[in-house]
Amino acid sequence: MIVGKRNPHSMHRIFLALLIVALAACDDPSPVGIDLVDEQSGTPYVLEVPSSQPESSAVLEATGNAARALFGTVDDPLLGRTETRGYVDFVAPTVLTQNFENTPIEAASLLLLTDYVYGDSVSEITVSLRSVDLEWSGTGATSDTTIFVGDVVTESLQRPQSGVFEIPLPQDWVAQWDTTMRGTTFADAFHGFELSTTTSSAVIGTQVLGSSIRAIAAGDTSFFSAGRSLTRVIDPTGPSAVPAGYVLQDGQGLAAAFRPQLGQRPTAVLNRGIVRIPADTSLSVDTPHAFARPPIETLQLDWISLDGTRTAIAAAVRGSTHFEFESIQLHDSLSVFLQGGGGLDRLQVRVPDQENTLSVILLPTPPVLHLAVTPVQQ
Amino acid sequence: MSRLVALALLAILLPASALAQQEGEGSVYSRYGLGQLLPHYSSKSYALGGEGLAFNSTTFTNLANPASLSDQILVRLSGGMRFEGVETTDALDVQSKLSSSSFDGLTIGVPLRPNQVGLGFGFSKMSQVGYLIDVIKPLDLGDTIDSGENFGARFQGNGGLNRISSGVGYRLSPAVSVGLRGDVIFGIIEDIQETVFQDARFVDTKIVRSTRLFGATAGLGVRVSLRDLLRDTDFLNLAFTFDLPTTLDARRVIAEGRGETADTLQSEIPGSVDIPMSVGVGLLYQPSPKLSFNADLRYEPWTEFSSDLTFPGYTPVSGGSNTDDRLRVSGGIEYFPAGRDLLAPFLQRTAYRLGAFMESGYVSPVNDQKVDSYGITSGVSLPTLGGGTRIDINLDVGTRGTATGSLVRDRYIRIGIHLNFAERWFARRQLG
Repeated sequence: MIVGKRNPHSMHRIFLALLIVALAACDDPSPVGIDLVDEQSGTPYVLEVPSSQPESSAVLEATGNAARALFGTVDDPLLGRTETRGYVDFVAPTVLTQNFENTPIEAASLLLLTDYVYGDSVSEITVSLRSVDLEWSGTGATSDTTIFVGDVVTESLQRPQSGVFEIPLPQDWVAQWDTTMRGTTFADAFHGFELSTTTSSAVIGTQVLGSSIRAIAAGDTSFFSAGRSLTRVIDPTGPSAVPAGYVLQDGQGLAAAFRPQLGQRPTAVLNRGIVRIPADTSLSVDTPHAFARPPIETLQLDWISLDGTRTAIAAAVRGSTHFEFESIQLHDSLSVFLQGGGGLDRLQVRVPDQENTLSVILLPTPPVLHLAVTPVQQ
Repeated sequence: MSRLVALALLAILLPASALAQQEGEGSVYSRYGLGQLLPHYSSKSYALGGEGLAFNSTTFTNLANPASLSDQILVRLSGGMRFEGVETTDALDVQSKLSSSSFDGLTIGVPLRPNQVGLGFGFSKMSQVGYLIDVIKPLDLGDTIDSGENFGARFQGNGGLNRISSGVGYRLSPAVSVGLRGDVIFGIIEDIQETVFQDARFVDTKIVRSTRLFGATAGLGVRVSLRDLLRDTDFLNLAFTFDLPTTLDARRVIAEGRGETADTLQSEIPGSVDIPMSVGVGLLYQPSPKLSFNADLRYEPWTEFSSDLTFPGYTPVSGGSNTDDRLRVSGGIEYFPAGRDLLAPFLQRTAYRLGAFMESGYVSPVNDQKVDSYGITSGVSLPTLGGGTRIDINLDVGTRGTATGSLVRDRYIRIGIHLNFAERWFARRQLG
């Protein structure tokens, strides 16, 4: 009986000892046995998916409130005629000096910070200003928006180069708007200017944030900064003769659309996805004398679903020979695409609306999808 | 009181059965086929080589041979846990060490008429998948995608098949018992393939291939007892078991990720898995109540295994199968010093068990190389204050495969802790 009473304690000790031994065991996994699974070991590889030749796809050019407004007309010997008109509205300073408020404005000028020239970069151009008659909105406005304008306010001869265009506003315009500019109703009463050129040698781009109306009264200077903006593109004729490949030009209402040709769907999952679009800048290099044809610097990649939904999915800055698109959203979409889903109709590239240029790039060969994938065992 | 303890054990172990699918790491060979095959749960037979087909069910519920269920005297509830450590060595003498713990099984034995008719119920693993391999390699993707870093691949498997068994044994005569058992087989086999990258521009992936299996089978057993062969107290049991071949319904899903974030890569793949029959022959010779010898042989023609799904080591095309017929030979010795003396000291009422086995693997990673296993099993069965209630502690060591070519050699140690509660239920109280 005494032995029987001791036994449970002995068993508990053994039990605890075994538990300690078991719990003390630590995992130390290693490649041992990898040869047994090597055939299916899932070593990543690159799957190159070719695409169809790019073709044009109509898009709306949302130029309202872009960072840049374009104005002027250009006759490009290669890409045809493009006419643009820029619209810029201004906002009054939050605080005006007492002198400025109490003294009539002596002089006013329109200052345009230009950073973009497409066309003849040497010959002078005549910039024409018209006042906008009615209230308009920049947000979401497209390049085919109609804006109602009045008579010519003034015209000014300018040299098309980066810098500041200073366009003096005539005294009768200053007199007309004197009390408004010194009062509190400027934002409601004044609707901005339309910018255009009377010549057809160049299109100019002006940075909206750096442009303003400068007004001087009693020695005090006030700046009425540019706010909303819009660019209209009027009846572009399109390229007349282009070299081999696809020519993509911003501002024409067209994107370069292409369809990846996956073929037989691989049993693999995506680790990294890159869309690479070869880019040739020769159109910007081989130009007539003093003719500037800026190359596209940034492209946006859109994912177009079967139902027509467009989703901006990645953006890329031009490299030496190509644009390379890579983003989390692109990866996620390509992952689904690789598995046979996603409802992809086509991909398309275009210049982001915010850029607002007429720049051009030659896409000499179709885009290629470079997919780093891991094979999946069935 | 012990009945309450038994019910408490049941309450603990039944939910624990859900953990039978818990993750654990062990032999890479469990990746192949349907995993590493396991016998019906029994702490006693585990310690005696792994089968014990000819044993009576007086001290445990022997579902491997339902004929033995006829011998039961006490209502018995058994369950246990297993702790396993595996050291794997490859041909280059590189080693890995992995460990796991898992719920081992549960059996309930109910004598309807003691020593004549008995029922048995059980839950145990039929196969077990548990492996983990990590490898780091240079990421070489050529010139098209910039990649100067390494990547890591992890291959992990877990799960396996479970079976819920119910059987009945009937003693036709003092010498002959027969039994019938039905098994519901179910389980999930998961193979997980993870790829991780040092380069943050690459997205790590985790592919989970889950195969859900469900089916049923039946087995029958016969046992013949021959008494007084060499001496007055000895007997010899001969046993024969036959488990029917069966077809499991299979559903396979391949997904990226797990749980709520899993992204199914393709629609569910239906299929079926044909499992071959299993034939067992057992022998038990007990010269005295203190000593017994057992020997068992099990044969399964796994060359008849077929499926329309791919499993590692098997593809449903001609010549795509690395399966082979499985033969398992085992034997054991049990020494029980007390014999029938219920009042003997503790150490004499302890049962000491020693066994060994040899098994030819039913599937191999390499077509022309078999993966054989050898092992020594042992255990002690400790008595308690509660009558037929015992605590069994088993210790097994063994080796599997060979470290040549692409194969590896597993050396494992396995500790099992099992609780066996037994009590006389349903007995009419004798008055006077």
